[in-house]
Amino acid sequence: MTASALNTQLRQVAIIGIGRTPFLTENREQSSVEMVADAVENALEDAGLGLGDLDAAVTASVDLWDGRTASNVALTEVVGAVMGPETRIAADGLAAFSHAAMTVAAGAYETVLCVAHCKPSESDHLALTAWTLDPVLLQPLGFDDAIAAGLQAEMAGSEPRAWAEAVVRARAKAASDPFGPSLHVPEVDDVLESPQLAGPLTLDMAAPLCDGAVAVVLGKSKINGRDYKESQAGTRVAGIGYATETHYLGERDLTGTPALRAALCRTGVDVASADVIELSTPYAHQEELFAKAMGAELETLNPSGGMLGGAPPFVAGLARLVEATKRLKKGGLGIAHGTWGPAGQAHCVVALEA
Amino acid sequence: MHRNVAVVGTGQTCHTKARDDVNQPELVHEAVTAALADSGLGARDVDAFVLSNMELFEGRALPDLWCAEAFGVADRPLLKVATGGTSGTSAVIAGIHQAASGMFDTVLVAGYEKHSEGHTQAGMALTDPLWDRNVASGAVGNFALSVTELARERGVTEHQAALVAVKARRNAVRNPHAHLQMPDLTVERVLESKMLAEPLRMLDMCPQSDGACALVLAAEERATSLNRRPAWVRATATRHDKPYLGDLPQRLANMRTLRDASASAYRQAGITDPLKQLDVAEIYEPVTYAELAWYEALGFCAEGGAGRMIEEGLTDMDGELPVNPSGGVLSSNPVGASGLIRAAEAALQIHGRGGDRQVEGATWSLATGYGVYSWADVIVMSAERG
Repeated sequence: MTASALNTQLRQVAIIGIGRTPFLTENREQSSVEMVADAVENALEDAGLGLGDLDAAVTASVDLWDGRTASNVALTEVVGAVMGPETRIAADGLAAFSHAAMTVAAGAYETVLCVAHCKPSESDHLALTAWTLDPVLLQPLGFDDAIAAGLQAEMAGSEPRAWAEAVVRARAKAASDPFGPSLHVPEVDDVLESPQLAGPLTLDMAAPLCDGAVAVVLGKSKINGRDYKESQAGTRVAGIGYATETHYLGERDLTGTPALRAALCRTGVDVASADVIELSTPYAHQEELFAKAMGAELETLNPSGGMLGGAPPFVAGLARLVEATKRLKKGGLGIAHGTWGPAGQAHCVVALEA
Repeated sequence: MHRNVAVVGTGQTCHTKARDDVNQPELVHEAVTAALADSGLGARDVDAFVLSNMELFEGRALPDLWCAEAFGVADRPLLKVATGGTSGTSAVIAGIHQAASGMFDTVLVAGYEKHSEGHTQAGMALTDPLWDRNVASGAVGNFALSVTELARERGVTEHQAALVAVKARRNAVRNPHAHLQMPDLTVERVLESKMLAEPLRMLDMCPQSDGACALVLAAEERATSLNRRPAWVRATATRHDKPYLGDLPQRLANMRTLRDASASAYRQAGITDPLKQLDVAEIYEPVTYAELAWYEALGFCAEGGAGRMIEEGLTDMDGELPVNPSGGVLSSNPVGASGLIRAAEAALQIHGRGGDRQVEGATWSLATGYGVYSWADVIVMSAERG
């Protein structure tokens, strides 16, 4: 069964080009702007387009991580937005992609660039995640994303060994990615015996943070006079969905993941029919948790290795979309997922049809 | 666009120096509640939400996560838009696109800033660390630079700028939401106010306000079922420009972004004579001199004609084209909401809900957003669906 016909306007939106930088543990050679420029150049080359062919840009980045007010200011020239429109969605890149798809479906723009970037090496990622929390009721308790995840892992009530196995699987798959951070593949016991991070989670169970940028060019799948490479332009957006849960950890259903369910439901996609599923999992226990919520089989998940193989925060979801797009064969159905916020407070799902 | 979208309701807080009685989500909630009431809707009737805020001013990250409570429903679509001063108008345009796409019939867009909880000038000084930070000097410094250029290029005088200040703060008296209301403000008082950075004086500058604003967008029949006189979106346009201040000579005098965005918007809306065809304009004026530059960039007058426009009262409440009946950014400035307030004020004029600041029979309105060095958003609305 294919995705819901409710999204008819959306299904005219196609992925025309994809591009990325390598994901490095530390990119000392390039600024954020330079990383974005590289990703954009790759995506445009893949699309067979120039910067001037873009009608608009939708970017994803977070000021606190970039150490700049209105951090998208720095990107204007490299995303083709000089005397053009650019909007920034301050969340994971997949959310920016979803918005970009809506602008094309609306008929506001024909060809849109979506790009996400983050350089966690230039900041203290976990410390910054604390600044997303209620400053009176949660932040003073010393919470950050890791501790929130530890709480969620504890409540999930599964065996840490299974999570360690997920890490090993991911690293093994990611080892063959020429653009990956080339991390070594640990033994299950190495992961279990790495220092405690929070609750039942060890350090090695957190997705390795990388510097990097990912860019996607999207547009109407049928535009007269445009000659897009068949493989990408054949991949259309079959559905999008995103949702944010209530904020307070004590009030949330941390193991039921209602926002993920709501986002998935919105896409109208039938998970059982999906050929490729790429989920974002900032922490290893979430692979099992999110897969269960989606009704997906663990074995078929994340052929790329997913986030546990190494990814930049706020870029990971868009990277999942790129990985899913690359692996879709004609007639295939793919699902990409992104998440942001403590213990996955917000989720975004995009369904693709090749 | 795929389908027509209109603003059907608006709401805002009473903007003020410090709201010590509410936290950030509670501040947003006030505006959301007011906008829902104005639209005749409950939170569950809304399909998606958009939030606008410049979180670095409060030293926070991903404020949509903490403010999720403010919307009154959980597990719903919510995205945060952040584009500097244009965040408010950017968020409205984003909401318009989302509703026009067919994904959602009803979208609520909210924006806020709680300057009292942060250090705005410190936030504003976080520009490019290599080239701009030493000279960008927050808001006042770089405006003083561009205003000096403008004065020399176009001959605008401090007296004309002071007239803009007087118009704004006197208009604000009729707006119950406005922060700075000065019924007795005179040109003399503006010119006697403290010099901040030559030639900008205290009363030439916008304030920093705690405040929130929200509006509800609806598509086609949903809109007509909610409001007898919806404010139909007839055009939107966005233009950004180069990142470094040094690459933008004559920034205010040229303002090529606003020129091009408004030209595009007027074309889309079929406006050939904005001064005559528009009934009211809510423009984002960060300093008095900028409003004069905007008159020219928006095609209200020829180059060099802005000074005369303000002197002859053409943009007063009883003038040819009332500009900023709300009092504008000069009277209320919660940055994440300021652009949204322009759109909300432009919409409520069409709704006929302007109270003492209503422009009689307003049918066509204009809202603009301004941010960073010279980013521009333009939204044209009309009671006529088109």
